[in-house]
Amino acid sequence: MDATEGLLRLQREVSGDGSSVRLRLSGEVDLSTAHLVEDALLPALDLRCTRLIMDLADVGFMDSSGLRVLVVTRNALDERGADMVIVDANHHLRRVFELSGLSSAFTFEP
Amino acid sequence: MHGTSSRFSLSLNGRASDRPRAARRWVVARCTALHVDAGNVDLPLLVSELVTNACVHGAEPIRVHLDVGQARVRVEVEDGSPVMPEVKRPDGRSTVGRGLLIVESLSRAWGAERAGAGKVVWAEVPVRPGSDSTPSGRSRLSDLDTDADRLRRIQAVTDNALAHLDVETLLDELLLRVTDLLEVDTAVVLLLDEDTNELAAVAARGLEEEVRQGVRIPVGEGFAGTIVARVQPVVIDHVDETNVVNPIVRERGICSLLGAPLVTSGRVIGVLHVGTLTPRRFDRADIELLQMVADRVALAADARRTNVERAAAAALQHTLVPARLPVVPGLELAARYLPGDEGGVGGDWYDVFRLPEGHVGLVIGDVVGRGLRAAVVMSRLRSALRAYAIETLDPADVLERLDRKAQHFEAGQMMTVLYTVLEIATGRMELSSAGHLLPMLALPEAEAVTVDAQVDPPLGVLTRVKRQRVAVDVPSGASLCLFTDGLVERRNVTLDETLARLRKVVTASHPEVVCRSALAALLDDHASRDDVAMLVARRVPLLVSE
Repeated sequence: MDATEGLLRLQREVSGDGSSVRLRLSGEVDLSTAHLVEDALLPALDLRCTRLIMDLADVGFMDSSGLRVLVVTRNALDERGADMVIVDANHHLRRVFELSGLSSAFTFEP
Repeated sequence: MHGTSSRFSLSLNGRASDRPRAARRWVVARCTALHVDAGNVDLPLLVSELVTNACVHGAEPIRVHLDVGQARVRVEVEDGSPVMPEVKRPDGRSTVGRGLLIVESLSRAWGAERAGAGKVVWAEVPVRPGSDSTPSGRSRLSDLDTDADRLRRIQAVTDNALAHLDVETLLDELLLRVTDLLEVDTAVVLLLDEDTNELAAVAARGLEEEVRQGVRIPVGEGFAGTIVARVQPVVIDHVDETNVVNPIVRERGICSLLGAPLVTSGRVIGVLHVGTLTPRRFDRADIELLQMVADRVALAADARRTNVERAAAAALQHTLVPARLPVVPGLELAARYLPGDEGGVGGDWYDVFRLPEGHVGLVIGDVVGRGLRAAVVMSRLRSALRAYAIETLDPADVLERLDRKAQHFEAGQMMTVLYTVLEIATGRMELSSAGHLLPMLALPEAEAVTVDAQVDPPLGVLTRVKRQRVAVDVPSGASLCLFTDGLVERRNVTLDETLARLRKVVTASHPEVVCRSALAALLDDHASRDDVAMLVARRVPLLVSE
C-alpha cells in the first residue's frame, strides 16, 4: 500500500527471551524509509534486549535520516549497557559514517 | 553559446518524505546524461542531505538547482523559509545536526543565502577529472557530420538512457539534446491549453523566463500560433515584431527561429521551437531533424499532460474528499479533513483499519505544529501505530509502544492520539486516550454523550507512563464521533459551549450526515481556525449470508 515500503526490505529476528535482536536491511534508508527502521527496532528498545545486530550488507544508500535512527537506538542501548553491532557495512556506507564523524561511535564487524 | 556550465532546475512536489529520493534520482540522471562522474555516493548524499533539511526544517516551495561545470558540480536547494540553517557540532551521541556536518565534509564549499522570502542553501563538489568529463559532450557532437549519425544519437538517447527518466526530466533532456544537435541557443516547448486555445511554455532552454513568466500565446497569432494553426514547420530567418508576438523572444535578441508542431494521435498538442542569437538559415535537414525530435517531445508532453491531470485530481481529492475509507462489514464510516486557514497541511490525522478476529481500529490524532515537519511526523506515527496494532488488540498497550518509540525517535515533539479497538460483532470497544479529546457516542433517539474515560498524558512528553484502557459498549445503530480540537476550539467561546453545540448534531444518523451537520454547526462563523479532522462510525447489523 505504501509505495516507499518497496524501497527498503526489513528482516527481523528476535530471540525467544527477547535478549537478542537482529535486523537486516536491504535497500535505501532516507527520509521516506527511516521510520520503517524505527518501527522495526521497537524490540531493541525493550529492556530485555541486551544485544542488537544491525546487518547493513544490502543497504545501497543511507543518509543522515538513517544515521539518526542508529544513533538514537545506540544511545538507548548504551544507557543500560546493552551492545549494538553493525555488520557488513560496505565501504560506501562506512564513508557516510566517517563523513558524519560517527566512525568511532559505533562498533563495526568485520 | 558554448558556456562552461549547464544549469537545470527541478520543483519538488508530492509527499515530503519522498522528495530527497526524487531529487537524488534527478541529479544522478542529469549527471549521467552529461557524462559527469561526481563519485558514486558523494553527490546523491549531498543532495539527499540538503533536500531533507529543506523538507524537515524549511517551507514550501522547494526547488533544486543543479549547475554542472568543467571542474565542479554545484547543488542549490531553495525553500520558502527565511530561517537560516544552524551549524551544529554534533558529538557521537547527538541526534541532530548531522546532515549539515555531512554537507560540510563532502563539499569543497557550501553556504546559505537569503533569496526572496526564503533562502538558498548551496554546496559544491569537485568533478572527477577524466576523458569523459566534459559537461555536455558538445565537443564530441561537432564531430558528427552526417544526419544519420545525428538521428542515431537522438534515437539512442530517447529510447534507452531516457526511458527511466520521469516526464519533466525527459522534456529537459530532449531540449538539451536538440540544442546540441542543431547547434542553436534556445529551445522551447509550448503546450496547447484547449480551454483557452492558447499556447503556454512548459519547458525551455536558453529562454527559461518564458516558462517562469507564464507566457501565453493565442493560436493563429505570431510564430508559434501559426505553426499550430497550419500544423506544419515554420522557419523565420529574421525575427521582427511583424512575425513574432512574444516579447521575450525579441528582447532576448533571437535572430532566427525554426518551429515544428507537436502531434499525437492526429491532434496538435503544442509546438517545439529553436532559435539562434546569430542569423541562421535553417535548411531542409534541420527541419526534418526538428520534426523528428518534436514527435518524441509530443509523446513525452502527452504523458506529462496525463500525469499533471492525475496529480491535480489526486491533490483535489485529498483536500476535498479524504483518502478512501476501508469497507468494514457491520460498520458505516465517514471522515473529514479540512486544512487550517494558515494554509498547508497541519498535523491532524485519522485512520481506520481492520484488525484480526473481527476487530477494527479507529484512530484520531494531532501532531503539534504545522507544515512539512508535522506532516512527516504524522506519517511516521500513522505507520508505527498500524505496525503495533497488528501485534496487540489492547489500545493502551499500542499507545505505550507508540509512546516508547516517540520518546526516542521524535524527542521534543508532542502529539495526542485517541485509539479505539472495536469488536464489530459484539459492539464491545476498548479505548485509550493520550491527551486527546474523548469521543462522543450517540445512541438512537438519544442525545450524544462524551465517553467517560481517563485521559492520559500526550505522547512524547513523559517517560514510562502506564496507560489506561476503558471498555465501552457501542450498541447496534449507535454512532461514535472522533474529532480533533480544531473542530471545537474557538477564540472567545468556551470548550463547554462548543462541545454542547457538537452534542446536539452528533446523532445516530448516517455518518456522512453527522459529518456534514457537525461541520455546518461548528465552522459556520468564518473565524480563523486550526485544521480539523473528524471520523464517524456507526454500527449496523451484520448481514449474515445464508
